[in-house]
Formats: sequence, structure tokens, C-alpha cells
Amino acid sequence: MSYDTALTVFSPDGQLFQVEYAMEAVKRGLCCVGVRGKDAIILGVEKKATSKLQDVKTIKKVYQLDHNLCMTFSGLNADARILANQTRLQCQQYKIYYEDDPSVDYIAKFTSQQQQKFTQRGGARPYGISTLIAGFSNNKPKLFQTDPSGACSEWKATSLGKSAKQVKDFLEKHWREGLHEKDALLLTTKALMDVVESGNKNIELCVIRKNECWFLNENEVEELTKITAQLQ
Amino acid sequence: MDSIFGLQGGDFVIIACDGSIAHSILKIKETEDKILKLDDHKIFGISGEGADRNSFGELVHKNHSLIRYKTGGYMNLQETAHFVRSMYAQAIRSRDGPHQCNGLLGGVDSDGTPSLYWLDYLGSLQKITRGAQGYANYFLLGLLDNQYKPNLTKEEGIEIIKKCIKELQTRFLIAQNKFIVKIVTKQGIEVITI
Repeated sequence: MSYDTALTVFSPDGQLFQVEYAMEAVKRGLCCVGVRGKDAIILGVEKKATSKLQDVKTIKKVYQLDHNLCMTFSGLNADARILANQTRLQCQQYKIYYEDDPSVDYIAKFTSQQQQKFTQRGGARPYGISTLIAGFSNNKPKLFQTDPSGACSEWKATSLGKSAKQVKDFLEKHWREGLHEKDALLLTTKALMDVVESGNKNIELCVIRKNECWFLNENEVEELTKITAQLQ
Repeated sequence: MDSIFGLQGGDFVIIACDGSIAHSILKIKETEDKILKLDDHKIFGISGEGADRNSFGELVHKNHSLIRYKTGGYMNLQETAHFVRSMYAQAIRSRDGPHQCNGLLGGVDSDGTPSLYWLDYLGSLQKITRGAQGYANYFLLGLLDNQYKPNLTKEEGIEIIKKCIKELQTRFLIAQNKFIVKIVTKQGIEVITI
């Protein structure tokens, strides 16, 4: 008997296969990287055009959830859009109730709770994405990761998707506490450039500062990739 | 009992509100800010019972933010005004009934064009160059019509608002001492207390 077609069935050795398969979908997704610095968090993500006719500039994979909170992902694009919109709504609802910005871990927990809901419901499938959520709480930068099983954890630097292991090894070697924004940005770019097809068109970068988010435009990304290539 | 009034100039919009909150014969507060800041270039002055004013104001502010994050873009004045109008309109035939507050929405678009909109609790929307909500209408419309001319400068606009305030303080039964005046220009929002 196969235990992997229905979500609400455990296998004899205690696995939920649908959730595992969802994590496989994430592993096949395009690479994304998050690096926590001292005064900023950098999110970088690989973009890929499915054909030469597609305008890669218009693909936006880093979602702004609030004025100083951003999210990116690896996995199914459409699932990410839905989850991002739900989280944006939750940010605003929190503000109506508490007259204060939600903390990053509140939002990360909310996102992971949404993902968990769909690991226990019949007739629905899990979200096929793992997310990186970055923002500031109590003036401290925080980076969280969620996955299709509904797990949520805080990270100093991490990566998701294809080549995640390679990038994580690189980050483990080169990340250190107290990186300034510029250094964190270079580190993220370098980590991405190692695994992404060359070309600034294929990278999207976002810097999350205490009170704002800076989405690098095409020219700024190109500048950065040039500098990073020279440093190597 | 709130007075909200405003006018649109050549490159700015002014909205002024009285600062008082009263409960039967008691004046609870004189410095209440009834003009909500939606973002750096939009303000929404709301007149009505305290609870409705606050709750509707918060709803508008948070929904406005939500739309901006969802669409990744900036809503101009016309879109915002129509959006607020639709919030009013959806409420009137809902279970909880209409939002019991009226408003003046004003601001400046990214190209510098100012606009001022008059909204009421049933979902009326009108683009105006000068106007008021509440009892202020009876005292100020004549004065605003008289003083207004196209392409006013910011200084002229402030002078007209000062005249309006003086008129209310002279003739309106309910003593209103402090007024909060917000001016939106391309550079942002300026606040003065008169």
C-alpha cells in the first residue's frame, strides 16, 4: 500500500511523504541566499528566464511584507505569492490590534503556521516553498527560515534551493559576526555568483535596513557583480 | 461637532481640523489630531464620533498599506480616493452598517499635482478645490468661496485657513481653541498648530 499519495497518512516509519516531496520541490527550486549583518540583512535570489523572449527584469522574487520586512523563497513561484499576500495581511492586522509593528519572529511563526496547516488537511497539498524572512526586531537584525513542514528557525546566514549545500559551505567559511552592510552585500553576491549562471540579469538583491528596504536596481546589481568578480 | 476643512492650491493641499474631543458638557481633550497621515504625501481628515473616526481611519491606513505592498506600487490620489469611497460604499449595506464618519482626503501626486476629495459616510465622492465637513460647512463655505482663487501659493492658503479659524472662533457656538493644520506639498507634510 502506498503511503505517499494522501497527505493525511503517515507511513509506517513515521514519515509524511507529501511533505517530504514538497521539500524535494524546494530543493529543485532556484537558489536563494540570506546573510545577516550587523546593521542590515541581505537577501539574494536567482532569477531565471524560461525563454529568451521573457523579460527577466520584471520577475520579482523578493517580496516586501512591510516597510522593513522582506521575504524570499525557493520553490514554486505561485505558492510564494499566496503566502506573501497572507503574511502582508497579517502584518497589517497585527498593527490594527497592537498599534505596533509585528516582530520578525512573529511573522516567521505565522508563515510557518500557515505552512503547517496544509500538512494536516485532507484534500490540500503543502506549500511547495521554503522561505527566508528578514527584518528588524528591537533594533536587531533577524533572519528566519521556514519550510513546507511548518518548521521555523533563525539563521545567521543560509541558502535554499539548488546548490544550497555548496552555498552553505561557502557561507560557513566566510560569514562572521558583525558584518557591515557593504561586506554582507559582497558576501551574498559572491555566494550567489558561484552557483548562478553568469550575468547580473539573473540575480535579484535586497538590503533590509532598520527602517527601510533597498531593492537594488539593474545597474546597481551589475556594479556589484563587477566588483565581486574583480575581488575573486 | 468636529470641524474639518481644507483647500487645494497650485502645488499644495491644506486640511485643518479642530483639536477638541467633548463628552456632553466636558471638553476631554483640545489637541486631538483628526487628520490621519496615509503616507508621506497623503492625508485624510476624518470627522465623526471618536470610535468610528479611529476605527475607520485605521482600516483605511492599513488597507492602503496592504494594497501598496501587494501591488508593489504607489497609489495616486485618485486611486486612493476611489478606494476609500468603495470602503464606505461596501459598508452601507453590510451587517454592521455604514462607517459613521465623513472625510476630506487630500494630497499631492508624484508629479506635483495636488487634489482634494470630499467623502461622506454613504460613499459620496467629489473632487473639490475647497470644502468642509460638519458644522464648519455653514460658517466657512461662503468664506472659502470668497477667498479662493486658482493657483494659490502656500502662504496665501495658510492665510485663508487662518481667516477660517478666526471665523469659527468668532461665530461658532462651540468654543474651539486649538486647530491642527496639515499642509502637503511635493516635499512632504508640514504640521502647524494654530
